[in-house]
Amino acid sequence: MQRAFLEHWDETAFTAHTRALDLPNLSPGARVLVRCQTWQPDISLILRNFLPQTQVFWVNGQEIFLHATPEDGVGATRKNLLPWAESLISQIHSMLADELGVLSYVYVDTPRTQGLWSGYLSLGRLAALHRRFFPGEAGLALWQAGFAQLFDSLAPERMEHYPQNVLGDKLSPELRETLQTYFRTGLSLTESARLLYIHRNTLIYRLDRITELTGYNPREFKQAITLFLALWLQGT
Amino acid sequence: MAGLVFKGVTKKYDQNEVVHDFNLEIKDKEFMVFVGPSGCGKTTTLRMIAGLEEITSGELFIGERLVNDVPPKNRDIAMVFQSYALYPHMTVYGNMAFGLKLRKTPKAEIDRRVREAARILDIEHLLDRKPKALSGGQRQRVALGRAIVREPQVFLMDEPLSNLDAKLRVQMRAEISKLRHRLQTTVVYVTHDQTEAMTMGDRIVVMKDGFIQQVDSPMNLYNHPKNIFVAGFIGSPSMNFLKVNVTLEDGIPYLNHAEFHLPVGEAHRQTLAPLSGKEVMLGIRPEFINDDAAFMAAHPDWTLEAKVEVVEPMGAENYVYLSVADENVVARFEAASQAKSLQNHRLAFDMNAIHYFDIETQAALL
Repeated sequence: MQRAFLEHWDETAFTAHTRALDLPNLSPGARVLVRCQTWQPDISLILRNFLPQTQVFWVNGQEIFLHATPEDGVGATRKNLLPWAESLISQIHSMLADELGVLSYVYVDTPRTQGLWSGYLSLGRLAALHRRFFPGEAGLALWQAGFAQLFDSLAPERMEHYPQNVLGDKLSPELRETLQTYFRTGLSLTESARLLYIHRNTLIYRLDRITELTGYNPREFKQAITLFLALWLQGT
Repeated sequence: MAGLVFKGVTKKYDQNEVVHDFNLEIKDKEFMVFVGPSGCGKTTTLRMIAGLEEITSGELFIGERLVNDVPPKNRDIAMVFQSYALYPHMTVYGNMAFGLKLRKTPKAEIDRRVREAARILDIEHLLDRKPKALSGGQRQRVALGRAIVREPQVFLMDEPLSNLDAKLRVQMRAEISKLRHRLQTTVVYVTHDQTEAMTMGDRIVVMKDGFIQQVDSPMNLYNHPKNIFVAGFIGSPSMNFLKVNVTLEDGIPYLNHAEFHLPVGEAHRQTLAPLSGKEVMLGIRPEFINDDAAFMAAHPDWTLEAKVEVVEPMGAENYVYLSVADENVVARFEAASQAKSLQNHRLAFDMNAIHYFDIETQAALL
């Protein structure tokens, strides 16, 4: 692992370091940005041990940027990389909390990103989306950001109108929780009923009630999307 | 070892308060479980203990020490997470020793602690292996070992079994309970699984929407839930709820529903009599719905008829899903029960085992 501490985190300094480090061709992997609540040198020691094959490593204030290559056996295909990269978020997050008591947020880019600088910029945007739309999560991978990227480009008042038009104040906290759980489980009735500790028929009754109140049926795919977005935007 | 005391602790993200006025005393060497649905604030509370989240207001003591402003590394706690992140190129020994090396612990002391933890966890034979050569359960034990070697005052566990398959989870549940007796230390354990909570905790904190709903021993929570949420949350299958009207006939309170007219059990009559003319929520656990002929013969006025929707044979017993005037009720009948899907079935409520709740406040009436 090569490492540099950058004081000025801009493209010129970045490119100069890239040249100075004489980077070999990067093997397939994912760009990762770790944002820590505090910086201490042990963080890099832990990451170096946790990601021994990682090739690039820069620290700028409380941000650590690296190009993480998967362990042997994970393979370099996109299909294999995605679950590996997703698990990095929770693993790095818990590793730093466990070993050092450091709260961190982890962002993972796709392997497709061209160049390290564009990878860094894309992760910076991801960090902004995280703060705005997913504040309770340990981090975010680019492919989890989904609709957040789209909504981020909209004017704030339009984002307020949409959930108000769809949901208004029509749903009780109980129905809201039901809907959130139903979406979280990927529209699974059985799993939602289990998580909500209610009978499956009670769940069906509640979903029907939501349809009556809002005019959108959460069991119909297109209408579920409308409800999902409204609920999600209202919560952000 | 040490206990923990929360005094009016709250947590806010911007204007959004997610943990409200949290007051709790966890005794030294107690195994305390925080349980509740997603978003109830249990993990946030655990992270406040660890120092990973700032406390917005209130006081948190570990032992005698106020720790609000103590950095995480100085709190003398160890955390075990759901993702048992291990260093892939280190052996089990190296993984367990690494945290101590970071803390500049002498080599001989590291060796003593690692071997002792490995003995307790029964992983001595795995010390030279790398994580890749370990099963999920073994990896979780190494993660536990990493916490044990630190000899902390308090262990914090954040859903540590969620990544394991169902069989292994049951096994590790027992392992952690055994381990806790050996270590004789305070444990705060977060889970959303009420079975884990019931089987492992000395006491359980049931949380919802950032509020403590009830703190009690597992059996007290089961037998004396303080409100509808706790009653429905603890127990599987969960408690059945039906709205009923109370009437008074010859001084005896009765429960009226579209499908039944049942006398209140003797033990509860005094409490229910003044509620005549009001609507209350009846709660009955599936095991107190009975279709045993002898029980029904002994209590003919406790019987009613319901339509069987589905019968789920569980081996030793059947879960029977019934509909009582379009409301769903689950019963646990013996495997020999004659209940058949889509047929009407005679059964009895054990009226002495009914719970009653206020519909408005949702609080228990008994």
